Amino acid sequence: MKPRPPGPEPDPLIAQLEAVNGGDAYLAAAGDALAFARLYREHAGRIHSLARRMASDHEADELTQDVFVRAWEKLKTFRGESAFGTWLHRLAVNLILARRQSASTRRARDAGDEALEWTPARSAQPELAMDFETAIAKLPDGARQIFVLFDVEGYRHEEIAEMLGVSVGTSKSQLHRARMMLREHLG
Amino acid sequence: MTDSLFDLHGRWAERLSDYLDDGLSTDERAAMDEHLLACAECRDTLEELRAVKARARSLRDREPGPQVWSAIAGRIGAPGLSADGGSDELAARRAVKRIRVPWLRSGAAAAALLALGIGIGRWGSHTPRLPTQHVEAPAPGTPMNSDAYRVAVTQHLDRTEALLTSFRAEAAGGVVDAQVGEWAGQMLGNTRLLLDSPAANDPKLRTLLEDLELVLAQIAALPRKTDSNTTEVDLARRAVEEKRLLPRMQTLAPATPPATAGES
Repeated sequence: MKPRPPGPEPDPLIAQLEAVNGGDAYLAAAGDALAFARLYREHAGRIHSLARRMASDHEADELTQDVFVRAWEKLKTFRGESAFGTWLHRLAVNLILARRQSASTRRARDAGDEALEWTPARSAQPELAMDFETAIAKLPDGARQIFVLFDVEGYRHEEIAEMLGVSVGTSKSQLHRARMMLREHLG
Repeated sequence: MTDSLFDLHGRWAERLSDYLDDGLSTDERAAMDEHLLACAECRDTLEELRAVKARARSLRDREPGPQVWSAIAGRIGAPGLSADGGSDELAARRAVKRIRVPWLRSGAAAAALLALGIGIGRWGSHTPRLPTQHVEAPAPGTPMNSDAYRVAVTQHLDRTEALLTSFRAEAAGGVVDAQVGEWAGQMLGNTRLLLDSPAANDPKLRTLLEDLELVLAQIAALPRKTDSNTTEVDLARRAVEEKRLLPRMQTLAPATPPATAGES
C-alpha cells in the first residue's frame, strides 16, 4: 500500500475500502502498473518461497513470474472478499499444483517409487546433515506439498484435501510422514 | 485399559501428529495422554514432531532476484519498469492498459489546459509521476502559475462530477455500463496527477482528491456490465454518498475561480 501523504486522518469508509479491497489491487486492476509493482514488492518473497518449497529451487523463478502475470490478467476478478494477499496466495497454490500435477504425470512414466528419492541423513556425521530447507526439498512430492501447505502456510486439512483432490485422512497421514522424515534433520 | 482405542504401539505413534494438531476427539486425547505417561519413545517422538512444526513456522521467505520482476514487467507490457517505485516514465506509460474516452479526445483544448495546471511546479521536481495517456505535462520552461492549476482542478472536478452523477444514476437504474468504468479509469489517472503536483498544497483539496482517487479506483475496477446489486457497486455508491463527494466538489470548485487567459 502506498504511503498516505500527510494530512487529516482517513475517513473510516475510505479506510474500509483500502483495507478490505486493497487500494493498490484496485489501482492495478484499472491498469496502474506502478501499483502492481508495489504489490509485487510486498508479496514476491512469500510467493517465491512458496514456489521454491512446493516445487523446486530451479522452478521458483518461472513459477513466480507465471503467478504474477496471471494475477495481472485476473485482477479484474478480485472481488475484495478476502485480502489481496490471500487471493494471490490461493492463485499461486492452484497454479503451482496444476504445474506439478502435469509434471508428475510426465515423470510417472519413467520414474520409480518416489520414496526412493529420500535419503535419510542421520546426524552421526554432522557434516552430512542437511539444511532444513534442503530436507523439505527432498521429501516425496505429496508429503512435501502437504507439509508446506499445513505447517508452513497454515492451511487446514480440509482445504488441502480439496486443493489436492485427496481425502482428509490422506492429508493427515502424509503430513505425519513428512514430519517423521524431517525430524532427522533438525540439528 | 485405554488400549481399546489404540491397541498397538504403532497406532499410537501414527496419531502423534493429530494429537499435536489438536485433531483428536476428547476420548482419544485422554487415551493418548495416558499412553504418553507410560511410553518414553512416544514422548520423545512427540517432542521431535513439535520441534519440526515450530521450525516450519520459523522459516524465512527469500526475495527473488531482480530478473524475476524484469521478466514480469516485460510480459505485462511494461519493459523497463522497475519494481522499486523509481520507474521509467515511458515504461509506466506503456504499462497503462488502453482506455479510450472519445469525448475527452475531442476536448483537446481542455486537456491541454489540464496539463498546464498539472504541470505547475513539476518541471523543477524529480518526483516520479504516475502514468496517463491523455494528459501531457508541459515541457521544461513552459510558463506556469497557480491560477492555471486552479483552472485545471476546476475543469477536472466538473468532469468528475458528471461521471459520479452518471454512476449514481446507472447504479440506481440496475446496471453500470462498462463505459463508466473506462471513464473512471481516465479520471483516476488525472486525479493522481493533480495530487502529485507540488501545487496541490490546499489540505481541503488534497483530501477531496484522495477520496476521489479511491472511489474512482473502485468504479474503474468494476466488471463490465456490472449488476448494480453487487457489493462492489454498493461500496462505491456508499462512498460517493457518505463522503458527500458531489456537494464537496460543487462547493470547492467555485471557491477558487480561474483567473487566467485559459478561462473560457
